[in-house]
Amino acid sequence: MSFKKPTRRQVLLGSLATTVLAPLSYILSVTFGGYATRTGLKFLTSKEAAIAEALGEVMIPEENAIGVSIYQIDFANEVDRFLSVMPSHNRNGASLLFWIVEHLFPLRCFYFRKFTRLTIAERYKILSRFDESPSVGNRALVRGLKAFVHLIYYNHPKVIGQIEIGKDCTK
Amino acid sequence: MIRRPEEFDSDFNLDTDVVVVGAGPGGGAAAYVLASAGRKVVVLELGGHFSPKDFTKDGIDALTNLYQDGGQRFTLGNAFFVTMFGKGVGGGSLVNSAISFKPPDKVVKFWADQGNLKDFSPESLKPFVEKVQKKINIEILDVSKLGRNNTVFKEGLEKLGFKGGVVPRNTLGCVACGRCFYGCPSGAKQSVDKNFISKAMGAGTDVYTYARVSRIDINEKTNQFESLMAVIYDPKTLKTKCRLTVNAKHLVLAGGAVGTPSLLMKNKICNSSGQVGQNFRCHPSTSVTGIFDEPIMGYRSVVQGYYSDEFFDKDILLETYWAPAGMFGLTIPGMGKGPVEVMKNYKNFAGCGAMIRDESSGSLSFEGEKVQIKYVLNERDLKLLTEGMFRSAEVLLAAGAKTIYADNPLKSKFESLTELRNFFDQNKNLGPDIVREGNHGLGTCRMGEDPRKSVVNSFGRSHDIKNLWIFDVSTFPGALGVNPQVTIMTLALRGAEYLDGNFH
Repeated sequence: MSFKKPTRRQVLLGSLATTVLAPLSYILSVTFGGYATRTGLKFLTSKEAAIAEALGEVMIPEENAIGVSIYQIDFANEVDRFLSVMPSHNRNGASLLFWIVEHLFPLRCFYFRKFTRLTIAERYKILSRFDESPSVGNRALVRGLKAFVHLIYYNHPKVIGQIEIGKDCTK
Repeated sequence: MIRRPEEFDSDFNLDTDVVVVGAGPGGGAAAYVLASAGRKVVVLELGGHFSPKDFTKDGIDALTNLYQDGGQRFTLGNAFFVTMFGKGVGGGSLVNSAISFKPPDKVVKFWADQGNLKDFSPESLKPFVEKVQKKINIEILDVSKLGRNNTVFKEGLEKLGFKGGVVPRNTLGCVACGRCFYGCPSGAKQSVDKNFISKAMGAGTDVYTYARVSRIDINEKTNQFESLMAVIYDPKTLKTKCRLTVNAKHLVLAGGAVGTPSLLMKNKICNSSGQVGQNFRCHPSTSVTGIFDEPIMGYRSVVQGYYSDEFFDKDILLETYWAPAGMFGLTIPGMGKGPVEVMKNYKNFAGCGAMIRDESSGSLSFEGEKVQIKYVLNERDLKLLTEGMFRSAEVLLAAGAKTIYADNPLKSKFESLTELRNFFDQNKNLGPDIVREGNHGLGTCRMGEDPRKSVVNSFGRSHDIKNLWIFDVSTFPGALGVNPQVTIMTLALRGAEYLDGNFH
């Protein structure tokens, strides 16, 4: 087996691959990787499902007075059901919001990890900081997220069954 | 009859006298008048047709089926809050709480003066108001049937010496199950599909469901409406099934404060005044939650059964309200275990709130299917909302609530009237955070007699295109101050009778 000296072009291409593709693959793996694969979702990606659950875990702790956790109602699937029939601009807005939560929210408390990689206490701290912010926009952002989580959770028949005493609504 | 997407596989054309876009209170009333007069009418509706058995406790289903954009339409400005618009045969009347106030005299006079409206006064509107009231079956329930959420509010009003009364509602044997906002599961609510639309269908009107109007064609030579094109879509996949072209002598738009200006702006018509999409009002509201020692069980109460007009001279209307838990959860401040623990006592909650007749004005812009609502609350309205929050909390505390949650950036929990009054004495403007919702979108194609300042005249006829009419909430020259369905139907009946009398 003989070794052929690489041409200048091959060296350039090799260098390019090292300097561009390696960081790109790293960025892609950091951005999209590390999320458990979810099936059966119509709109949400596995990543977005994980972010939605990470938000849900902060707003509705697993052990709570009502006795229904977000996992018992398959929270991510409910979010997906809600978003999947939305007009595309609403769905795109939700995707953008999930991205902001995952990548930018942690910076508010100088955490240099993704939102889904933080502990619940750390996530709580971030959301509380936003909620107590002097900026109306920051407060509105967290209230909007809270509204979203509550809308999904408290509308679920399992949760309603725990807090309402049912009534026959038919005449 | 109701026409559904599954009936159609290929594109088709229709010829008719009048095509009505929107099967809500305005479109329904107009279709009824015109069909009863022997006109051939076709109605196109963005949403579906539902019966009481379709209305379940599943909030996600309700939001996606009965509200435009799943109820997630937000304002952008100094506040960020949701404004909800109904869809489906019945429109907003499917998901409102059946409140049927007649148009307030002071507002009708104000509109008439402001727009220099011809033959527009409380007296001239009275016969139409009475027709509407009769047709939609307004009943005033006995207080004993309203449920505890309303009677505690009444007790609070009486202790404070505030005037109030049972809300007139268009129901027939309401069972008080607190679910109006997700569609009436008992069929008691007399939404437009049960009266005006059903009568119009009896007179030969076809209602095409899941039909989205995409284009309006105007004859450039005559400057008259000629035809429109709509797509009929599959509600599950949202994909187009076929295209429908309707040729008609008259076009009635009744798509509401967003739907109607959206069509006009996308088709670049009827906007010589530049007023299409302007003057948006939304009746912003705030709310408080009171927690009582006794079970209130608002979910076994009439959703909005009692009101107080004690402060209506100031443009504040207090009303009880009950919301599904998903909406109620938002009034409890904070996150995590605390709010969930509070929500565990859901059965002991009572809710009421204040809606204001806003003077703040917004505007709409459209990009494809996306609507952007710019709306900035002025200081006057923010002060009114703060006072509304205070009065609502005051009533529930006077009624015996142990704790009040009045979500605002400074202090959200109150346990005595003294504490509450001291706080609100020092804080007259709590800012935009306290806005819970914009209750009714209004006024984006306002009426007036001057074509330079308005889109339609007082009969709903476009100044620019003489066979195009608007019979919906978008023609209101300003905010109404009360829930608008009776006013919408009143103006639609009046306009449609005028259209029939001038039909050619």
